[in-house]
Amino acid sequence: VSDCDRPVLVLCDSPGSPAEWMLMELQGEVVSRQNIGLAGGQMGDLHYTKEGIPVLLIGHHILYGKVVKLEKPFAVLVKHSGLPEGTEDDMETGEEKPTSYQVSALIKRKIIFKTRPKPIITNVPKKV
Amino acid sequence: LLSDGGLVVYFRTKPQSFEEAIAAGDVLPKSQSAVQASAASPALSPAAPRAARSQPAGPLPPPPASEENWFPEHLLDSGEAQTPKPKRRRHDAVKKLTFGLADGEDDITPPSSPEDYCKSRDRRPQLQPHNALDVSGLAELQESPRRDAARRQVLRRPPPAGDYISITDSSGNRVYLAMKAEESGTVNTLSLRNSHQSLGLLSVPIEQLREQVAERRHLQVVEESQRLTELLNSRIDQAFGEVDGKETEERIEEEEGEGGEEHQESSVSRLWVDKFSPRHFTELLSDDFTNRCLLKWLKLWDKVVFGREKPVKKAIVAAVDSRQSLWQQKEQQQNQRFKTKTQITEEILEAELDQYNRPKYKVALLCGPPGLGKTTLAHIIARHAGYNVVEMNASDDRSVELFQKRIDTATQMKSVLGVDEKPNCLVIDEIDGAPTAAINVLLATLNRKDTRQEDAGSGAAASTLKKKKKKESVLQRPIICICNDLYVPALRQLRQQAFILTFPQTQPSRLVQRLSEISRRQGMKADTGALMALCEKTDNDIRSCINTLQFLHGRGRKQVDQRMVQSMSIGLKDQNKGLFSVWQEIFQLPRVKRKRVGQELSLGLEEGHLQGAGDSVGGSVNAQRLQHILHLASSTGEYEKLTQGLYENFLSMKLKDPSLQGVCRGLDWLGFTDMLSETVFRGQNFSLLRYLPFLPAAFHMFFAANNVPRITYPNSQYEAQSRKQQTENVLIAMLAEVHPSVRSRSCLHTLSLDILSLLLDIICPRLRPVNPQLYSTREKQQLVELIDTMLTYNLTYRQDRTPEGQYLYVLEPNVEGVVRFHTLPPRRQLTYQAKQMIAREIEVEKLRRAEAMLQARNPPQKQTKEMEPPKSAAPKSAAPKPEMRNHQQRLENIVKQAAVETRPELDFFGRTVTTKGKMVSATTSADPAKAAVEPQIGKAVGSSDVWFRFNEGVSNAVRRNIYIKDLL
Repeated sequence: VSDCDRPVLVLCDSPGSPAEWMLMELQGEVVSRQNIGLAGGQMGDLHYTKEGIPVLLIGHHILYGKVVKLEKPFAVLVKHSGLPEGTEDDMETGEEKPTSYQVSALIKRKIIFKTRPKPIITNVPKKV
Repeated sequence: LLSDGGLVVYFRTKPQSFEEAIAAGDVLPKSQSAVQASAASPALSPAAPRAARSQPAGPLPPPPASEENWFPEHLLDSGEAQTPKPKRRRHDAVKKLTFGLADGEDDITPPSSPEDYCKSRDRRPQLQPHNALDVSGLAELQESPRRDAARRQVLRRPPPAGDYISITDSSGNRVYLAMKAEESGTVNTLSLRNSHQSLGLLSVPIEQLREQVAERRHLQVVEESQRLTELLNSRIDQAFGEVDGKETEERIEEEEGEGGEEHQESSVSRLWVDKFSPRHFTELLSDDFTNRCLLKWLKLWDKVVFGREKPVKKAIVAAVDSRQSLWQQKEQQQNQRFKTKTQITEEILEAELDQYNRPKYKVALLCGPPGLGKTTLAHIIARHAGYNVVEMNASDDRSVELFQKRIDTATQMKSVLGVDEKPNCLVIDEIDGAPTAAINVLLATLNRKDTRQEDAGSGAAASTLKKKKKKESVLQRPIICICNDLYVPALRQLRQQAFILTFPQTQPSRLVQRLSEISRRQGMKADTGALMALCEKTDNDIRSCINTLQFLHGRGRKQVDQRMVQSMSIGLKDQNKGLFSVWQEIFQLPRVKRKRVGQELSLGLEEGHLQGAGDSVGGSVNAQRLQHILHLASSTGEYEKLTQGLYENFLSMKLKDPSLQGVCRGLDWLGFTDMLSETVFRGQNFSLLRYLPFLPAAFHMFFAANNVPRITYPNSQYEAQSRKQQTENVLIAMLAEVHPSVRSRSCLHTLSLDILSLLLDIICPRLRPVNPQLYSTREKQQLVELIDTMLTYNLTYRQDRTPEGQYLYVLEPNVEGVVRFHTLPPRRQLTYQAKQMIAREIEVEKLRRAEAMLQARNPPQKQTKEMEPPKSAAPKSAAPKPEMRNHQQRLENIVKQAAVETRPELDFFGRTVTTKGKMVSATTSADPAKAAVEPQIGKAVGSSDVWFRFNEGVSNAVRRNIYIKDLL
């Protein structure tokens, strides 16, 4: 997570175990039907089978995926600037309260859904 | 034209063009022929003009003897004239199968076209396309006054149609004279009638019919007069009764005479072939080597049949062998590498015997064309080797059981009634006519293994005991099979196991010797030349030679000479040739057989003379050609195939008429033949079948050329037929599911002729190559209409994989081929994407319609569903329906609900879903039935606001940068 030269203070709030998140990788797009936007909406249901295979239900689609361990784990950091907001000049000069980052979560695994989704057909006409 | 040493070339051109011709000969022969005609007996009246016209126009007086030598064709005519027998004349006309017309005319053509068949009788000469009869090389013709400037008969090029003569003048120019037929109607009709008579189209010739009618009239008149006289007599006197008595006496005498003749005939009835068939090995006419081989093979059986030891027969064979081997050794030195057929045969004969002391090949198979003496050879050799010949004819005994029985009888039993008990030798004649099953029986007999004998050891006594007990014993008798065609499919198996002897042609010298012996014994005079000619004519067929001799003898001829043999068409075999050779003969002019003519002219005239003779005989040559083709076609029998072959090949012949009249006539003939065969096969009117061989004859006259034709096998009929079938199937498949409103107005015919070609254009509108969602409303409307049209006509696109691995969308059913001509460019096609889209839309539309239909079928249920608010679903599901089981009801409910859910989205599940927990709680609170449904089908299914669009391809390809701040 170090993309600059300076050492960065990373804080860990809850010692021991920060929350673990999971990346979800979908091959495709999640679209809102009524163009309301996805924000706040429920995407779908994530289930696991008995064998541990993740199953995602989105709309009338069912997706089977798998859990993959990331080669390079991610940490989700929240930046806490030591400076009062608005004064950017002091960022470099005054270092009485250094900028700190708080680890809010770690991402070690991800779920990949890359197979073609299967439609769930509920309405089967008796005779086509 | 010119007279030089008696040679006259008689042209049928207008005499004006050749003044010398008038001076030299053209006038004279006419008067001369008139004399002859008058000299001929009145019974010959129809034949007389023919004879006259065929006379060489020459200044010679007509001495019959000298004429015979030069113009053999006329001998018969003059011979007829000398011995006029009404009965024989009729017979000649039939048997000779020559056109009466032919002798006088240069050409015999079938009627130009069937339509004016009757009309054309009178004007036939004008229509005749003459074939080329090239008589170039007449040196004398150079001096002839060749050109009569105004006349058009002297041509620079060979005339497109008709006979012509090519002439080279003194300055080296080559010109051509067209030959025209004389236009004399009366003679034509007469000779035409003759020709019809000889063809046997009428069962009774028209002349006879006329004679009968005339006779009947005459009788009526006579009766009438008799009655009148009787009336008179009865009144006048009764003393004339004696006359009646005399008449009856005479009648009795006549009857006795007839009876005597009959008796005589019956005594003659025994066939000479049987009478003079060879009795001993030495009398055999067939090839010596073949005879010897068969005998040697038969002798190989001696050990197992007679128990004789090898040395005994070795001694006999060795003598023959030693001579032969010496001679063979010489040959072997010459060609060491390859084994000749003879050597192979020898090797077979010297091979070791098998475990049962039998030769390696248990069956001898004699093959060769008929009349070579195969059967005779088999019989004589078997008798010679001490066997009792049992003959069976495989083409008669066709059933397998009978075949088996007879084989077993012949090979396992022995005659006990005869004076000396000889072992049997089975001769199976005409085995190529036997069915395959029968031949398999024969093979099984050959390969039968005597297993028990092996176990017991080879005790002679024991084996004989067993033989009696067991039905299935090993074959111990020789079998000789005889066939004409070695390569019949049924014989394939047998061929590998048989000792095959192919009969070569009988040597003509031997045959002639035998024939002369026979004729001498029967008191016939026959010179060697005549007999040679007979042999040649019959292809050295012994049987037909002898039969012909007997026939001639029976007809009262005590003398046979060459010309008689030549002019006879008896003794010809009814052999059918392959279709290709028939086609070839139809399209090719026959070679002029100069050699034979030369043989006939024993005086040894010059070549030019020969050709002069050939020219004047030309007419009869044409007639012979016609007869030959007729015979050929009728003996082939496969008119259907024959006609097809002619149809496919006649246009590739070298046609020499620029106005294509010949082609037109040929097509007329084809049409006529088609009508004919339709009439024949539809109405079972088989008497018309006899007209069918005239098509090949007509084609021969129209299209025959000198060069070798290249014949291709007719396929187009079959191809067209199968294509038609295919097209019909496609159309039927299309019509089967076409919308009823269309179906009511379209049949196969209208579909293929009117609708399809336009329809295919209609279903190819110009669609923008973009996503259909981007279409304008007008375009969308267009698409909907297109899909509606295609559905109405039961058309769709189907993905198809070409052999190269390409994917294509093709019309299903593929009616494009129905309305497309091969030569035209293919019609415009939609793009792959467009077709794909259309296919998908069609599927969707189909589903939609099916659904609509389903809903239309049970509207009341739907209505109740809509009326009821979802909350009342619980009581409804719990509503007491005692006869319906609980789980059934629930399932039904689920399906119904799901079906309804898709429709009224807004009123039921339309609100935006916030959280899962809320949703669950809401649904649980909503109704228990719903709660039961949800775990099964997922609550969000079909109703959620969010849906997932899958991107095709590899996941790497659609990877997108996502910032973590977006996620937080």
